[in-house]
Formats: sequence, C-alpha cells, structure tokens
Amino acid sequence: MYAKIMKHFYGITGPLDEYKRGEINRLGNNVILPLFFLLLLSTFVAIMTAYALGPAAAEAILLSYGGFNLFVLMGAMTYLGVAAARLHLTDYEVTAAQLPHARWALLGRTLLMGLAFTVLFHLLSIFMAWLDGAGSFGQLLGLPANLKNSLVAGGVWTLLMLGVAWHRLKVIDD
Amino acid sequence: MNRVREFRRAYTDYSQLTLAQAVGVARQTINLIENDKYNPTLDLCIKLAHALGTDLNTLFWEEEN
Repeated sequence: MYAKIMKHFYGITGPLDEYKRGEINRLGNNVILPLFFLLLLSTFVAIMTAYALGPAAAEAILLSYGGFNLFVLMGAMTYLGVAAARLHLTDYEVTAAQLPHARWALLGRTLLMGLAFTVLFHLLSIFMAWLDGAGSFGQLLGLPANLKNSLVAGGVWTLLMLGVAWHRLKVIDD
Repeated sequence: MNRVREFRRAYTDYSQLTLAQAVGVARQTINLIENDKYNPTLDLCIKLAHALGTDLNTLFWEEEN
C-alpha cells in the first residue's frame, strides 16, 4: 500500500527499489522542513493579524492564509516533480517490442485521468458558482456555458498530461 | 570500480533490464551501480552476486595496488 501511494504520488513507474526509495525519502525531507516552518510562520502571522484587526478583516485574512499556503504547496509540488524527473525516477522504460502497447496503455490511462479531472473540475466550479448564489446546483450543472468551460479545461489538462507522459516514455535496448 | 558490468557481459546473457528483473530492481539502478554512482545495500549486493554466479569479494572488493 505504501509503495503504491509513493509511486503514484511521485509518478514512479517500475519497481520502487532501494535506490528510488532512498531518493524519494531524501526529496521528501528536503521539502518537509521548509514546508513545516512556512506553515508555522503563516499560521502565526494569520492569528496575529486576526487578533490585531478583528473580525472585520476575517475574510481577507482567511483568503490570504489559504492562498499563501496553496502557493507554497504548489511550489513544493513543482520542486518534487522537477527533482524526480531530473533523477529519472519518473522515466517509463519500455523495450522496442513493448512500445506500441505502452503507448496505447499510456493514452488510455491519460484519457481516464483527464475524464476524472474534467468531472471534478466541473463539480468544483459548479459548487463555487452555487456558493456565489448564481442559481440552483442542478440548474448550474447542465448550463452549456459551464459545461463548455469544464470541457475546455479538461481538454487542456489532458493534452498537457499526455505531453508529460509521452516525454517520460523511454525506449531501451532489451 | 565494481565488476558488475564486466561479469554481466562476460559470464551471463543478462542485459541491464533482465538483470534488474532478476534481482527485483529498476534498470536505472543497475546502470547506476555499474557506473559507480550508487552504492547498493548488502542485500542487493548479495542478490547481484547470486545472479551473476559469483561472490561478493570478486564483484565488489577493490584490490589496492
């Protein structure tokens, strides 16, 4: 289970052997220390600001706090992604004979992930619009403009992921 | 410099990929070991020695000149 989660999180294909395990542990430790202190700092600043400014600034503080943490998290994820790729942990190695099958499998997997992303994106954007009071949830769900937005976002994301996955595919000598 | 590549090529039909599959690691790991860019654990050293039909000393011991 641990191996499955780690492989999925870091985008590792093939066996999670001792080398890859060691590298992802090192990368994880590189990330957790700054992340820990930044989270601690942002929480401290948010509490102090809320205390100083009172309830009137609650919304602005909450949005800033959430936005900052999301930004930091994105930075950490980018570092992990780039570092894992530079260490070739994410390379998907296949022999020339396996290449056609691997390409189809990759395409199928990416399309499935794209579909999941599109559905989640649609539900989330509808939820946000519903929170804003744009209409009832059911009505917003089937609105052509919303559907179009979600399909475009899902399509772009799928193409991007397909490009990344294609780039990771490496043909090696048997 | 260890002698994994030398033994693999001289005494077995293993490619990096098939040797990796035989000892349960990724091909990149075998490549890193052969190029002295990664020090394997004792457990993996023993597996490699078994797979290559030799012993740890022959495979990894460096004689000082």
